[in-house]
Amino acid sequence: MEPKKVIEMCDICKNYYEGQENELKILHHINLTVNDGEFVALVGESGSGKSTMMNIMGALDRPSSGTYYLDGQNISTLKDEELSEIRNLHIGFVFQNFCMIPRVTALENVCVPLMYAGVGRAARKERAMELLEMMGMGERYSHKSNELSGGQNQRVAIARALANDPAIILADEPTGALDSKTGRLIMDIFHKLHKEQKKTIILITHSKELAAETQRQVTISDGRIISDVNSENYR
Amino acid sequence: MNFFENLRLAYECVRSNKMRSVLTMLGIIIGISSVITISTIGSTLRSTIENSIMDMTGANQIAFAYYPADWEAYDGSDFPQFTLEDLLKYREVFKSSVTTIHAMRNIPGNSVCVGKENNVKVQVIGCTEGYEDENKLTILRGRGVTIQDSLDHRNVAMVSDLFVKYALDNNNPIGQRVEITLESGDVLTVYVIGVYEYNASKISGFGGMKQAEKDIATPFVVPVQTVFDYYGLGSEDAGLDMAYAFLQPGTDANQVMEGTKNYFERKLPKDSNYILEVQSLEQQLGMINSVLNAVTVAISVIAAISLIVGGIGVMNIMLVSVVERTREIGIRKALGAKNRAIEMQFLVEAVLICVIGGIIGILLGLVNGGLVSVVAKYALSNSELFEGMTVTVSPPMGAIFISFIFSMVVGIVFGSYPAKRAARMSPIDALRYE
Repeated sequence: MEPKKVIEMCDICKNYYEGQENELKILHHINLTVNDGEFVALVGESGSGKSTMMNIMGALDRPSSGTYYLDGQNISTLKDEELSEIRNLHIGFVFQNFCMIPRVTALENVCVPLMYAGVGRAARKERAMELLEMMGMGERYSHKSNELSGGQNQRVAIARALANDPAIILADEPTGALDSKTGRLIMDIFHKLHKEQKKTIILITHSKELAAETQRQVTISDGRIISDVNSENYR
Repeated sequence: MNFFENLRLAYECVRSNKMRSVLTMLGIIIGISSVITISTIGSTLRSTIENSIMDMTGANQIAFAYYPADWEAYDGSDFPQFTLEDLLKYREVFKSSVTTIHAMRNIPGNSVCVGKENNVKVQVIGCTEGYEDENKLTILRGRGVTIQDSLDHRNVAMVSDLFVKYALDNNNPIGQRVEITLESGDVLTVYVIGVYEYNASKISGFGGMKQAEKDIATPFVVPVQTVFDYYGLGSEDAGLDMAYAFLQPGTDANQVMEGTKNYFERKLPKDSNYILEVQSLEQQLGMINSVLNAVTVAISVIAAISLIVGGIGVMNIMLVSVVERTREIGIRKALGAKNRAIEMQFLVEAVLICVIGGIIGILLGLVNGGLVSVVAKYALSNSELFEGMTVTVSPPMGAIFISFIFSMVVGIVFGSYPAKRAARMSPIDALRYE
């Protein structure tokens, strides 16, 4: 049976300042397919275009040309409001700097995507608590972002990314702001999510070692995919 | 994402920035509280005036007098007057609705009567009938002055109990002969037919001057014909400029007013430049009210301008807040917030700040208005002129409602631009914002 395609990017280009003298071509005819349940590392130097690619992948931005199918739906031409819904239901973001909403507790942070999805108050609290417990953060549900360590914040962020059970998890340098030991812990969580929950995970990183841990490494340079290899010895 | 989620978010935000929120509200608080203060004073003044007038005289009476129809064509001649016969006939014609015709002609200045110890001062008032009704006086003995007294040229008088106490033999004043020396030096000789209970607050124009009881110049009521006779006026000249008709309870004042107007205008020659002006007390009250209302509204509008200044303050803070929370906006958008949800979040926050400010302003305004009214009450109670006036503090419900709605509108108007800016932010730029 053909595996289900979660991400299908066809001939994606992204230009800034289109039609002006200082037109910038960031992505050149990208073609990429990610199947359901894959753990892919998107590797590239800074300035290689991997952030732009992540923005398009995460429905934060639209391609200048080409089509992008996410979970079977062409989303390259959707309106802002529709993209919001895609982000809400189909994508879970994990950022380098955690991106917690200040002033509110861990529990409420995890509740945010559920709230925008229209889940009722009681139901979303229950779901958020369940996720926090899964991440080992159950006891600290009432702590605010500034009362948690980096690793703890990132675990809350992962719980939040999982809230609406999205098709993919987009992790942008998730260990970048953490020390190596905590970083290891976070990576282990991703591995666990991949193996036990069969999540599709896209890890964006500039670190070759982290990328080597994953199932498949896609390397970007100057806005082009220059290599796409599967790890043979992936456990 | 319903309204209550937004309200909760906004409330959290307002609470976590207490100091800033309060400072932002200050403009709204000051604006709303001044509007409410002014309208509380306005409505207090209105109800006070209304009550005191209603207190002094019954509401169911009309006043009428001749006036030139066209002031530009007025030749300076004397206005037509009502003779006693006119008024008596009028009362006869309208007897089903008019009970009493009250009209006065006074002898100005203080007149004196040689009393037991000192000279007792009085004010001589010539009256058709109903003086005691007009001023709601209680007659202790005898009776009041009637039109018949005038027609019969009787030299009689209704005097106050104070006059009796200081000038007469208290045991049986009725029928007693009294000599009054007028300011001109002439002497008026009358017989007492009635005694009324003196009450300063009830007699219009006799606001109790703070003075010893025995020094008060109380009304000394004689038939109006006595005054005419004193001035040597013949039946041609003896007239009254203005008369009041007291109506039967339950009479339609408007109907009587129209009838009165027709009745007296028919008496005028065909080419007369005069008309009969008829007013009811209700109308006069209405006029006072409309003037007071206009003044209150005018000042309130000026105060409301400060609300706009407050609104600009709210907009300023909301703009700062949007910039400050750029990253939060980015995060929310990444997590799936629609533009409308972000817009609503900031709009609800602005409206909440304004509404809380509005409520505080309303409460503060009520306290202020109440204080001013209480001070006014205290001041009035010490003033000779207004003794007997009762101050009734009445909170202006209409103004409270309008202020509340207005503060909401200020929030919507001045919150929508910052909210739109927040909603329009690109999620990528907002996420990268440091």
